Amino acid sequence: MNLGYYPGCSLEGSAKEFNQSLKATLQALEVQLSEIDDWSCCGASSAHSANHLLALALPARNLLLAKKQGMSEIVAPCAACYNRLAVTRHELNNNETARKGVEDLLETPYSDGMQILNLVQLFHHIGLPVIKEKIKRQMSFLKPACYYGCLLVRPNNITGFDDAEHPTAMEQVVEITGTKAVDWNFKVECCGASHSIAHTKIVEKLSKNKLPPARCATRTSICGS
Amino acid sequence: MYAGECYKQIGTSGNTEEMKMHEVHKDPFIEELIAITGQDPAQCYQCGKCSAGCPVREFAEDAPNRVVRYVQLGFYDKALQSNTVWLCAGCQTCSGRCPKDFHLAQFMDAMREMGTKRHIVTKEKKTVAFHESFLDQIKWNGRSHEFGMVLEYKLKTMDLFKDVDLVPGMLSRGKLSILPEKIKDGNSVKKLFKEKE
Amino acid sequence: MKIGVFICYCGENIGRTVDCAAVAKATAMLPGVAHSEDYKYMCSDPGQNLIKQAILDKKLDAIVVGSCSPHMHEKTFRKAAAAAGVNPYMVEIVNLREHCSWIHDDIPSATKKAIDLMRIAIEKVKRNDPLTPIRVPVTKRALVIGGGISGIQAALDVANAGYEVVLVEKEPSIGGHMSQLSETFPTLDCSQCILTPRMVEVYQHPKIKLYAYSEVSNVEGFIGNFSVTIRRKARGVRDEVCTGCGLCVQKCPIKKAQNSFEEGMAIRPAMYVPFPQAVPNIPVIDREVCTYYKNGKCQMCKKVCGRDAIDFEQQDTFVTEAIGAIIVATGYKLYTIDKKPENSLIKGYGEYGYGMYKDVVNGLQFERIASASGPTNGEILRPSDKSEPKKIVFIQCVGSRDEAKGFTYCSKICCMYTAKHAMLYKHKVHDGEAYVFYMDIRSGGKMYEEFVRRAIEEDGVKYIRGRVSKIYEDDGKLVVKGEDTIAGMPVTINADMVVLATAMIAQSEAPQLAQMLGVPYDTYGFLQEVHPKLRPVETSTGGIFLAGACHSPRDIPECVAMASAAAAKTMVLFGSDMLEREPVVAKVHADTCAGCFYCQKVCAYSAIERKEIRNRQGELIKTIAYVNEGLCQGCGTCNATCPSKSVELIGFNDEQIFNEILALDEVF
Ligand code: SF4
Ligand code: SF4
Repeated sequence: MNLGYYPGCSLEGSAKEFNQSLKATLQALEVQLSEIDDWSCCGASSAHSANHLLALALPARNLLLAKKQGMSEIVAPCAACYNRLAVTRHELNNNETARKGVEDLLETPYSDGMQILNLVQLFHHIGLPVIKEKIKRQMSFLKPACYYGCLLVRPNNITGFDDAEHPTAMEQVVEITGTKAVDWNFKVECCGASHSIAHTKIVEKLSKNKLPPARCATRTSICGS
Repeated sequence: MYAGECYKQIGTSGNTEEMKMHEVHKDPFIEELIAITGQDPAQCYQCGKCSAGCPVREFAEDAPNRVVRYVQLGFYDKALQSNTVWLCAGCQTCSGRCPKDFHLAQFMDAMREMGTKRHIVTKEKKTVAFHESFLDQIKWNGRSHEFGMVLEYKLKTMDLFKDVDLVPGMLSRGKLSILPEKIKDGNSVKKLFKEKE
Repeated sequence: MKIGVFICYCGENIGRTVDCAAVAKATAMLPGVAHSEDYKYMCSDPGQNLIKQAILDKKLDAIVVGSCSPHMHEKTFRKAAAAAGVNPYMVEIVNLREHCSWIHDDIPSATKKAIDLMRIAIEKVKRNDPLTPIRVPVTKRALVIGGGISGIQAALDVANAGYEVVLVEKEPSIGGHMSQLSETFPTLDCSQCILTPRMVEVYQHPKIKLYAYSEVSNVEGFIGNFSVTIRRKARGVRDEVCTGCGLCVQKCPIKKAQNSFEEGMAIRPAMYVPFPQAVPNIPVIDREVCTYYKNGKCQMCKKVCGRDAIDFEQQDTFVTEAIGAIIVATGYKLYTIDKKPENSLIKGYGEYGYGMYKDVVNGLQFERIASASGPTNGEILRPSDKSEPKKIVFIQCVGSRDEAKGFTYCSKICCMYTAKHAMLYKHKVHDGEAYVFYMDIRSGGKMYEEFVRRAIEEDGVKYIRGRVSKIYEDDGKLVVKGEDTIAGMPVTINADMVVLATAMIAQSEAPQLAQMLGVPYDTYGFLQEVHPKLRPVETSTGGIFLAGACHSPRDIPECVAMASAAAAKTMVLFGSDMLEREPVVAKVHADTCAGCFYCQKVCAYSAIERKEIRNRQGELIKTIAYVNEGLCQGCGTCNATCPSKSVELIGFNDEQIFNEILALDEVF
């Protein structure tokens, strides 16, 4: 399997380990990743707070690059990047005015044809039975709680990813390693990440809100993407 | 006269003389809002479900549905000045559950955009500074550069010493790099900021 | 032939954009027109007198009126013509209002179009024949579909007027949802106590034939003359001999079927009567659960039945009834909170747990919990651990006023039933706290608003304005997250139990039934009346009337009123022995019909029959098509299909239509 890869800024920076382990995992699964050459930032939550066209143009630049480089499917492991790419694609396909505005900024016509996958989708795409065969060590000692957060499941009509309130796709993935995921109430609750610099207090409080029930289950790890 | 003016009259004169509710006209503000979001705030029937599920509700001055209410009534400045607009985390919990399919998170985006354009002064200077610093990195480098962003943010907010103890560790783990990684075709990104400026 | 032309101004309606005087003048010149005039209101008495006078003075044979839609005044003008001695079918109406003045604004061109339209009609009327209406007899028996409170009321009203009624109910017993309710607003009288006598009355009424556990499977015919086939589902118990002693129900060892009368909160045996007061009191075997149908084992009921009423091999049977009028009273279904398959209209409330939490119940479940005959004998106990909830939350508008979930309408009864629920709770749990989350309180109705205020002011129910965002379970409590939009403050309630005021939605089979009856229905599946104000119980199909919640969400008093109205409409129909029908039907010309029967294949109303033509010696010469005038709706499909042009649609024959088109030719 050969896929386009959009790492996004945080996987190059503060989430470096994530990038490394992901690459190792995919290598084991014989998935080739080719990074989009000269990709730029998706703009994250800052761009859509500033200007609605900029927020679409930044991801659109990457979609066009990928297309030019012959890709038809790209993986975006960071939830924010995934969300911005998916929303942009949806808007450009469905909103004439937005598409025109973005085309003006990019000075290029836009054409669709790009499938955007987040990590959980990618694992399902590869096929859980296929992955299961390659698992070397059972992880039954772990009791993970899966955390989806906001951006994988919302807006549900665009990401089309699982159930908006009670998703289970990530549980299905982790459970092939022999673990039993714990069910908890805050899978899709917001952690406030976009305020991690300006309002650390809010983020601490929101993240703490979620932790206690997860902690009850012994030796819990939290998976997110 | 839009509906909100009736409210002001009552507030200032202190009497409860007959309140005439007028239809909210599609004035330029609403038209601009519709152009950005594709939806009319009149659609919201003020059920409060958005606020009930909003993660930042307890930190915000106004419930998110109230910000919509202000706009429905024509209190645009009041809406734009509300710290709720800037505290909104963009989580879209509200949009996902709104019974009227009103995309409130997108409405909040538009409020930030329109507030900035109108040079509205908000109490949430830090959040504004964060977004600006973040976007500046993209504009200059094509990608976000955490070190540069934090530096700019700290200069903007004069909040120089918070979290600095984290820096050496992050640097040695390779999580922070002092020099930005620039993309090759930086110009192609820079020109996308045309609309914003 | 002498033709009279009359142009109406319809006040300003036509006169504003059509120069009526010019139209009258222009048509006066057309060949065959002997009289032409215009008048402000042709439908008024003086206007009609103008027509009558002109007919008498000028000895007119036919008239053409340029006015509003024939739906409005065709009858008026035909009557006026008939009074002056002209056959009513020698009258043509040209719709100068909807087809001309209302849709144009340029006076000269609208006037020209009006003249053209008049010319077309004049060419047609020249070829009209005097006709007489078809008279068909009325079968004075009514069919009532659905045995809930609406159906019961309608059946009793019609039967008490002396007409026979056939009542069909799909469940084993009549009674409908009302039989499940605890007490009723705003008087708090017990639902069963007021309903049961009515059910018994139906059962004992000499004029009512009850088919319970039956469904309408086919409807043919037309107003006054329907033929209805009813499928009687096999109970496994022969109702002619069963006395309803109930021994088999007691002895049935398979006691694990979901009790749908108790909304899934109790179990019942495989052999069951839905509830003790059931009418008829005859049990049914649930074949999904009964072991006999799985492995042939058990037969306990057969052993204990002293009357040998059990018949495992019983099959569905079909009966056909001759019916004159149909009252549809099929009621509603409750919105279910469970997650639903993707293509279902129902999206479910993931944020409220998709029905995963046992102590989040729906409106009907709470009715059963509060009901003295319910699974908790009327004690308020929550389903999970049968403890008394000390804090209870009611959430209004679940599955209604919720565009995102696919239901935009207001379910109308939930504000009232929630107030009642909260009140019943407070009457039974004195130290309990009750909260109601609402968006608006809609309590229009006699003593309704007073009832809601009583819940708030006397019983201390806390009403919070705002919609709940999420419910989750934490440490045995249901955490309800809301916002008080009046105070502008977030609210979190750790409740023991939550009741969702789930909405009334259309029965899932309603669209199929509507199609079978030829009655329109809306996007939600509710059946449609002809006119929302002036003809609220009639449908666009003659002889079919609506009663109760199959039309839209409504409460008991409204259902009963509507049922009586539908009964009254039925009695009006039964008041005459013969019905007059438009003579616009197809006719087959025997001499040219080749007997190909293409017409029979295309006829949507099964009106084409076969007729044998024999010579004097009685030898068969040919078989030709023949139109049953009673069934023919005058659609003209056969006319268009016939290869030998042997079918004529009376009143709209080829000659008439072609000449209308030729008149148009002059236009271009
Ligand atoms: S949930 Fe939707 S309709 Fe309700 S107050 Fe919020 S935006 Fe308005
Ligand atoms: S998107 Fe903003 S307003 Fe909506 S729930 Fe999230 S934080 Fe609150």
